Amino acid sequence: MNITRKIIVGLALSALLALSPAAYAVDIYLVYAGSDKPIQKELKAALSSNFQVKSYNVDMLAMADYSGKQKAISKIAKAKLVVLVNNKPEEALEGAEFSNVISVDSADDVGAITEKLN
Amino acid sequence: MKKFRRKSLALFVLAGVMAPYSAQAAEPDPMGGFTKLAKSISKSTNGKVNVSGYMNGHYMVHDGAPKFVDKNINKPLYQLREASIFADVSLSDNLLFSTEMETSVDFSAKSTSGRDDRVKVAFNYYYFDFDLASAADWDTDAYGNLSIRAGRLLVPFLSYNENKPSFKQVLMSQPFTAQMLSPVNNVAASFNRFGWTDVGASVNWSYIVGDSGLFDVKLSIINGLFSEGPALDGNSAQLITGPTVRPRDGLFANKSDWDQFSDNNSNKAIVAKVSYAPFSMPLDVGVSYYTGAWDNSGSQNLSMYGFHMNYLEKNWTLKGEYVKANVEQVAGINPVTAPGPAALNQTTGNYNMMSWYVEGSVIPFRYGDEDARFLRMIARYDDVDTNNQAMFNPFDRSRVTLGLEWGFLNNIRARYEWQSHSIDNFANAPAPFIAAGGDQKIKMNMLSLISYF
Repeated sequence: MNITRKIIVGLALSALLALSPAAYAVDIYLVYAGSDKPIQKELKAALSSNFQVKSYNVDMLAMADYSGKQKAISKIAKAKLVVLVNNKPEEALEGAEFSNVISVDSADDVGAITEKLN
Repeated sequence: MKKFRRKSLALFVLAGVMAPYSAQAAEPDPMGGFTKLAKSISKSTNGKVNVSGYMNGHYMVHDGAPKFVDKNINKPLYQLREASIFADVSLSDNLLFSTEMETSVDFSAKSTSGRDDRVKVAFNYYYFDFDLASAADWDTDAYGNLSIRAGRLLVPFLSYNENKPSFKQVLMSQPFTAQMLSPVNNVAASFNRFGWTDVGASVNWSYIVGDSGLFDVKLSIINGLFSEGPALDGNSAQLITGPTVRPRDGLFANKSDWDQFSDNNSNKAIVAKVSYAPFSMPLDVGVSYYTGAWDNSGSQNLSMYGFHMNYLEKNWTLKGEYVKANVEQVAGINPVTAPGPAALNQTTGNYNMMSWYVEGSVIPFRYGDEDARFLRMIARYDDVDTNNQAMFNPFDRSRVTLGLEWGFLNNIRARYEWQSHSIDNFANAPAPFIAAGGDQKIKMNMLSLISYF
């Protein structure tokens, strides 16, 4: 089997796996920029007791390769709810569409996040 | 050449004058269909499959470059330089498969570009990426994020190679650091390889330093740059005047092909890149290091070190890279079997390569909805010397590049670039090089169109 066929088979298998029903491993993905780290910290502390929370710092895109944005979207989109902290994540992930998303601008928005998740 | 330059500049001046008026009409969105399709794929797979892509085409013409038997870039080159599809597939919560399929089409005469293939398709990279920190569920705030990548990966060395697509850059032409030393690709040459990718594995650890910034380390083991012959840059070309010469075009020819898995020796290359991005400004700086044996016996080493910086504001950017390479090589061997100037073609023994560039761009003018359309001015200065021991080396040169970029439609940009190269130590240039049309000053003009989704 030549390399092209191997890759095509690999892609086909990957597609099959990817098309399997979604299994949410994470309740909330907090997406934030480094300058909003204090808000992310407070939100994480407030939400972690009731939900499984992960975070993604969009400044990491500066260090990533050129399809880093796509990889970040693939990772974040698996959460039940995507929380975008302030405007920078939306700018950094321009064009991304998440099935369940909320934008917040302060750590006081815990109630809105909980309500959106429920 | 001057006529072409005047026409190109007139086109951009006209664009600037007409742009605000054209913005008042409903504008077409040729890339909108691609974007919709990509979004629908993502939606229908619950975000597990994400595709994106870009393409660019250009018209390029040089003046003053030497003519070869199979290549004359002083004639116009028309190329669909790159048409790329990226696919990122989540195989599980922590495992990602990522690939890029890249296509290039040459519409120029074969005797102009020297390309063997009219159409070239390759998988530039294909790898699995495992998020170890997430799988182990450790506290990333305390210990940072850790992932492992394996397969054919983009070599994390300096900045350009991991950011080479034209929509991520403001010029179509590559800086010498990427074109000659951190070998990405060289459009005018035979297009057998795309980005600098290699088979191996890479560990990426990133750590958020309090509220101050992001620290990122990439450590990779790859097969490495190589040569099957006695010289690292032993490729040759026949001047139209007859003699065969070594162009000494850096490390461009030392990458493995996209479907090559084997190493030419048992010595693996090590690549390290350490970067830092402060949260207070849109800056990232980093240092890179490469070491590995390049010859079949694994006894002669190539080492490289360099640094990069990127400061990317919305309306202006400043970028730069510096790289130096130390090459071990036996002296006095002539790798060229065809007739040519033996004294010039023979190996020099150990030598250094060096290149650097600095590039600035500014957008003085925006218009349209949300000021999304723009005109940008770009200037770059770069310098390269691919062998500091050679008597004459056509790639011991500096270059000035001036450019204009017009973002005139959603995800579509037009660019005009003008270059002036100046070859150092031209007094040592051999007579056949000059007779083949090689000048000390080489000029280049290019018009290009870039689109992405």
